[in-house]
Amino acid sequence: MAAETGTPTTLTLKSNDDELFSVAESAAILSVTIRNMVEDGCAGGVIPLDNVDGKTLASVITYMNGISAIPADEEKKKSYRDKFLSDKDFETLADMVLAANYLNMSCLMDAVSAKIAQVMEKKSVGWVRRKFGIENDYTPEEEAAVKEEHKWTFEGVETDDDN
Amino acid sequence: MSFVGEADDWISELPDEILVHILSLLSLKEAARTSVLSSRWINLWKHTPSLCFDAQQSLIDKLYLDVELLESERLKYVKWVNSVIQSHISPALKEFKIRFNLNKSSSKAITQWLEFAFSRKVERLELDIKTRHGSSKYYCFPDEFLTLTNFRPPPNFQPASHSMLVAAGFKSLKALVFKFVRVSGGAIEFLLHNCPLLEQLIVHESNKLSKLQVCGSSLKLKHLEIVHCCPGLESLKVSAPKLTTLIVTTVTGLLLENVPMLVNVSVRCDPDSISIKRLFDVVLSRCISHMHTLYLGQYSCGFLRGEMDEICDLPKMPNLKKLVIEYCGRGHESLIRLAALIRASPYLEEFVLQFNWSTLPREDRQIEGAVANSPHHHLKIFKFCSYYGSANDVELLSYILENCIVLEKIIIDPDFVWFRDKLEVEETARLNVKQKLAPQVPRHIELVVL
Repeated sequence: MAAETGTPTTLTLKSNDDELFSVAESAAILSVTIRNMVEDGCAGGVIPLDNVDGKTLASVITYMNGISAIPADEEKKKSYRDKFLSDKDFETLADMVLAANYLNMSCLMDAVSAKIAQVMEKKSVGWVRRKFGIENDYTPEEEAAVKEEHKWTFEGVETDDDN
Repeated sequence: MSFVGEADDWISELPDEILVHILSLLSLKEAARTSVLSSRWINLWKHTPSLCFDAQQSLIDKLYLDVELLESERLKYVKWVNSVIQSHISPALKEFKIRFNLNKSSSKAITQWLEFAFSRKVERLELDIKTRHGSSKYYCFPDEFLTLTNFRPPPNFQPASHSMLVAAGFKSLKALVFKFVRVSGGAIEFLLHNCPLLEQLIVHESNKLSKLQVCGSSLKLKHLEIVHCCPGLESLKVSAPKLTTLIVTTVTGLLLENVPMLVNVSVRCDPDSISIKRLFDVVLSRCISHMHTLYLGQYSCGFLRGEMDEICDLPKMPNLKKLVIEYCGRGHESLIRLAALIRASPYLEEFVLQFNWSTLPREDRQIEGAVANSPHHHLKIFKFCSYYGSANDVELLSYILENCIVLEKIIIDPDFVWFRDKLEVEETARLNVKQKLAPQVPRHIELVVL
């Protein structure tokens, strides 16, 4: 193990489109999925990550390196996460949340989920549908029934749709 | 955010577990509103592990005064909670929170909610049901919950009744908050010893509590808050090896035994109930040497009437980093005595004084005479709330300016909540800060006026 020999161990990760990435073990084990593989001794060669593509994996590794370089200071870690996610578009966020879920990285999962949840906050149903391209497949009667059943969710709520 | 609208509907394609996770970060109302988006979303919110039935604070305040409205809103609230828990699907709850003006008249519903929460293996349970009527109208925690003490379900057990489910369910509790709920010491002790994961216990305003023992070497409890449970509470004995935070509003009958991890202590108590010397030497003696933060509230008369010698002879608090004193007086009391607490805490970094005084004009009192110089090498921040600029205020500030050699910041908060004409008082205070205090503060110290 790295801690015993004093030399940092590097892992090789393989994306589902066959790109290879080197990453320090100490950063990679932020992923519980990878940590379990390392602990089970499956990390000798290349670690295949069948559910993550190269573009997303590159981004996740940037995050792993960035966040593990910050010492135990939750505020600094949070501001790093905010900055890291600030320029990501919807599609990237969707890929990231899937990757974080597959890799079992709770801190990234929470941060991306919070970012997506933030978009929905204080917005009308119509606004959220438009923003995310959600197709309304209810018939008008069905929609009226669902609205009636969830009438309480519209009470005392002020939306601030900005476009 | 620079998101493009009219995108592909990638979000609806995410797996259920991720969408539920995202919804669990929204309020209950917002999460449930997504059911209207499309049929994909209709049931997702019912899987979120957190049910917080929060009414808006503005509504709660309004209902406090309007009895008729209260009755109808109360019925509506009960109906709301009932309908949500009937349709909710998640087999395990991280959080279940009730916050509304409720009283005994809703007992049946509240008991059912508790049964529901326990049956879903709730981890954090909060019942905050402030009512404007007297404490005799408070909801009473049913002791029937506790009768199945040694119930162990056999393998393949099919629960025959609700209460058996409940018996197994409360063992998941990690945090329990009861505010304005009548709950007995026996019930709390039962929960403490039968909830092996319980880390946080908060009880406010329970007049049914007379004797309580929070004792046990296997307790995981980290945070204990027993607030405004007097006059009923006669004794509180605490012996909890993992306890880090203790908040109490009575010291009469408080007995601390095995509390090696206790570092945050907050004590608010009635004036005159105990002297500062006795508080430190006897009540807090088990934790005084390792405390990090100490909050002393409403410590008016007991503190001031103590003999000067007694105050100077306080035990040292070698680990104290933050000290907050909420000090109630008429205004002319000597504040320089508080400096004894700074001297007793050589590693103190932050000192906050909330001086709640209420009488004008403030007489300028006789300065108590020279206080020995005693350099302090760690105090960086001093915050003075309700600073007015009278002789006693100035005396304490001058002491701090002279002795605290690494002081970086003085924060003055001229908010006089106790005054009806607080704006006038505030104006004088601000003028005093500007004209008299500011010129005295050296340049390397930041003076912040809120």
